[in-house]
Amino acid sequence: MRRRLAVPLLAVAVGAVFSLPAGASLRQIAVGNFYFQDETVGDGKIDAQVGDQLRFNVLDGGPGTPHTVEVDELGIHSGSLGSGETFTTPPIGKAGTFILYCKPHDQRGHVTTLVVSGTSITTTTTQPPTTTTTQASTTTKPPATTTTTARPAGAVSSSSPTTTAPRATTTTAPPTSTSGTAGGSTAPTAGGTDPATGTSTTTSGNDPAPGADGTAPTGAGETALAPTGRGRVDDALAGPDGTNLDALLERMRGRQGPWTRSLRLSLAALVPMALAAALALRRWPGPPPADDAEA
Amino acid sequence: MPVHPILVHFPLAMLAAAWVCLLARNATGKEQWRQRERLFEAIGMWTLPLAVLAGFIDTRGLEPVTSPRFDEPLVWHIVAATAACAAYAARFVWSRQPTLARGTRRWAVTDVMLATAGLWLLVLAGAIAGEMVYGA
Repeated sequence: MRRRLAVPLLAVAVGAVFSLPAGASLRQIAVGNFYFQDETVGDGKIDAQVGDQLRFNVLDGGPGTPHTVEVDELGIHSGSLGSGETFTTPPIGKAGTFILYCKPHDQRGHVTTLVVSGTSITTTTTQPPTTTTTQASTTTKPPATTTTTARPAGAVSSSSPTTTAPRATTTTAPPTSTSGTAGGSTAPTAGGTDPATGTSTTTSGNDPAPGADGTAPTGAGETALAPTGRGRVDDALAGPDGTNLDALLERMRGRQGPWTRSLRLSLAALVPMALAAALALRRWPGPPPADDAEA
Repeated sequence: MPVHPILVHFPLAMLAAAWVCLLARNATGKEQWRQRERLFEAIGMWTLPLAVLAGFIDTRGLEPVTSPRFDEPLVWHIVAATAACAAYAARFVWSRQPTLARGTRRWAVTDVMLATAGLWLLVLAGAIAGEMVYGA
């Protein structure tokens, strides 16, 4: 009696593109040999919102071929980054389309496009009594999305690839009034004020001063979601929290998520498996002794 | 603490070893390979449900199954592992049919194909799991 047993077939689903939550976020960008890639999207182009920070995680690159992260229009210059190093930008405060490139390898195509959408932020500061006004300098929809938000010092998160928080532009000086529009909310801020001197500092997040080799651009730290400047990639590569289902589910989604390469690797593994099986069957010596009647 | 990673290598190792012994038996016809294959297969088939159960405990139940999101590697890991279990279960049932005509070449080919399919699906499930845990 002949029976045919169908071998199960697997279908590979193409992931959906998920919309990111509103508000500033820390975006993880993989940097390797001649590519920049958003780790949550993976389509090659880097999209960001005004106020976002970008963390570049250098995954490939030998000691002799360090990479750099350069966005001339935004004054982002990381300096040389070896494999395993990261560079975190200050919050981006300028909308537009920019060229993101690696200085040593731009001739070899290590270039991509950074598209920053949203409303550019400009900030001006006056002397005491100081009023710092934050306003939109360009018009997009929705208009004037600048937010002035009080946030306690230390409320900084750096581990989540999509950490969100109110986009903030800070600034104060005593006596201070801070203006901004964000659903009508206005609040005095703590960030940006030097408690020792009472002098004001202004952080706009945009056009940071060009960083020295690997240093964070000036004035970027007050509103940052994550520490700016150089770091190690170890944190970014850490596995998900094994006790957190959400962390497992949210990991590596995307159209070209890295996990899909496991299918290719498995198909490659099938070749030697099939060859070994075929070779064994080719050498099949004939019916075995009557030992299969153990049913 | 996740238990699934602690347990899952037992069925993987045992069923892989059983597959190797199956090929060796088919290539050489020697009886001792069959005994080893049966031993490894038995250990693998007993530890496989434990690993599956631990996996569902680690992922807090059946939520990935009842509310699947097919862009998630975890869902495809479950699909591949379930298909592997199905392949091994099919082989188990098929090989124990009393009416099965054993000792023919077709029997040998079907036996090896089912075992190879089950092992490959386990490899696929493991590769997806590896990407979940170690992928960047």
